[in-house]
Amino acid sequence: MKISDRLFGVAFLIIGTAVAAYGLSLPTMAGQAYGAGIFPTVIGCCLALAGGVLSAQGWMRRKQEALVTLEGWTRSSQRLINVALTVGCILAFAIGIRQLGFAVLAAATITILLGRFGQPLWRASLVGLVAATAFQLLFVSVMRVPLPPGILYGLIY
Amino acid sequence: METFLAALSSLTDPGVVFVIVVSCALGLFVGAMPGLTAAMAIALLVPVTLYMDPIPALAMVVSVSCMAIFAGDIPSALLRIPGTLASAAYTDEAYAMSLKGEAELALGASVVFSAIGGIMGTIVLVFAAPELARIAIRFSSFEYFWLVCLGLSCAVMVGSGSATKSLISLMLGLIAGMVGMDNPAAFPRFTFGNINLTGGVELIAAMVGLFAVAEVLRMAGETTAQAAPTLKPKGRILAGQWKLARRYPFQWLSGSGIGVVIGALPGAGADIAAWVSYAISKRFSKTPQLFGKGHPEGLVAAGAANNAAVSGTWIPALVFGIPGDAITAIVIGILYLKGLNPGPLIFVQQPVEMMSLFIMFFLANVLMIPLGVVAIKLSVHILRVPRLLLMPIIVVFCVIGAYSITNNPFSILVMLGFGITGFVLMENDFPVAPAILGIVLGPMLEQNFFNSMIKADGNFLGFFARPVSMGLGFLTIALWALIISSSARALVLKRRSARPANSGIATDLEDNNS
Repeated sequence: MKISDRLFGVAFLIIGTAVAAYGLSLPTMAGQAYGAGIFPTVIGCCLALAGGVLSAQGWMRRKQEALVTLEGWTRSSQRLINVALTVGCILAFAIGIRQLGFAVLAAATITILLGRFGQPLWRASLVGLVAATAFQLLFVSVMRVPLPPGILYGLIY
Repeated sequence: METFLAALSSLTDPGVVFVIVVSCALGLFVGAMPGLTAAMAIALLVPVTLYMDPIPALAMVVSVSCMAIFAGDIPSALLRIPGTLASAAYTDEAYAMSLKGEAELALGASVVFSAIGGIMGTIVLVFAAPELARIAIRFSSFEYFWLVCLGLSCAVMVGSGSATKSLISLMLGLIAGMVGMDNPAAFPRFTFGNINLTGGVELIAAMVGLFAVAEVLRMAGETTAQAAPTLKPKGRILAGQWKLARRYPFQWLSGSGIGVVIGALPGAGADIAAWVSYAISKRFSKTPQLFGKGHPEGLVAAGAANNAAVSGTWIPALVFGIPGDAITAIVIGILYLKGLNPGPLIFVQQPVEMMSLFIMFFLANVLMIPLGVVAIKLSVHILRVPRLLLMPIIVVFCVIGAYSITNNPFSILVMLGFGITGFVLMENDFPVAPAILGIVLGPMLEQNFFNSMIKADGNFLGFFARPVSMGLGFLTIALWALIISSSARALVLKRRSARPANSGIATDLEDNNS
């Protein structure tokens, strides 16, 4: 998906201005003329300025460039699902890694994504199971990385 | 000598040898797979290095990065797809050689001159880094402030893509680096009341997001089917290389030199080194008309340059803690995790580790020739591994990488956030390397600014009071002026060329000329 420089420029102009305004609202250090706000103010101003320049550059090319061009993955529902599913799997780890455990989520992620990419379900689940066990053994048992056991607590310990 | 022997004995430990062999194989595989980058491999290895001793951890990082940069040449020559960005400069050249039936000469040149470039780069690293550290030990916060400014400016100037987009990427990185209470005023910034953000953005989670998750999302949304190699190297890989080395001594020597210098500039790594070196070798060639048609001259220069840059990027990373490229940005994170804090004193405080690092660089570049030849022979099989099927495994690796640093699921969210941002930015031609530099160097810049201001009692002229600081300050300001003037000039030229095209005059002129 191509977003035009005009749109990006305006977005960064707004973000930069917001950051600079936030920086100005921060207190100075005791006895000094500056504080935690000086860097956000300077960086925000620079970002806003760069956003303005980018927007102007995009404006000069406005005839060759649409505001938003849907191409690649955004034009195919199948690929859109692939991207969304990948994001969903990572999100599932963030939400449920403590409750469900690393191994369960790893097996599920590998099975779901491999299945999605065209592997037969039995093969996807077999690879998921073997890979999750290998990850668990390598990282938890050998390298002592404290990955949460979750619902498999009794089985692992 | 004692340090050398101690370093040698730690590297000959069977466990370390095993790590080196496995990492070399991994580096060759990652490099040869289009879509898997060296920076991504290093980011994914962070959880593995986390629970290792410093020496095997460094050995792993060095082996993977050296091998991956070379192996990127394999699909360049056989598929016309660069395995890593560092091979993009001469992909057409290498593929044209393969089409002429010289695939083994092209790949042989890649492996031999990559190794030569790597070794030359390492020689410079071994001598330049400690010498530079001797000078840097006298630097105060004023000099460091300007050095960081200079580094960030270089990232904008020499980075790939437009200077405006590089600047925006850098600013976004600096903003991400400002999150949390870890600022000189100890005031919580950009935390939005979230306690998980008070410690700031977890560097490793952000890197894994920007380099690995963003690539994974790109793979998931890929539009092209994976190409299978139709060309394959048949003859002896190393045949004719000695002749090439004697025919093009200037090319591999200048390539190595350019590689180290560009590598040492913050923000520019092996990819830029290869482009510049290829262009320079074409410029000074006696036969520039042969470039692009399967001529090995540019390949010799750029192949040496990208591997020399790998060593060059470590110079500012070790001496100043300023990463030379995206890989060393992650390496700095690993160095801190291992207690090897980068800075001029690292060579005094950690002599064995540093000596091991130097030996490891030599070893990796020497091992590159036999292992590279094996990888080239196996290349047809490596390139058939379906990339999309590796993707779920990479996703799990990413999660382990982000989670294991803090044991907090919030890091996975941070990683995902950076991954999506990186994916969107990359899709729209924003380079991500300046953002990484911003995240790493932002806190350092602010800390040195505050220290200097307190020392100078709020007087900004204090930044120009010491001779080195003044020199660095003027150099930085000159660089800013150069960036602004060249951007403005490019804008005016673009406008001038756009105007006649719009009015149709250009087409008229072309018609008249023809």
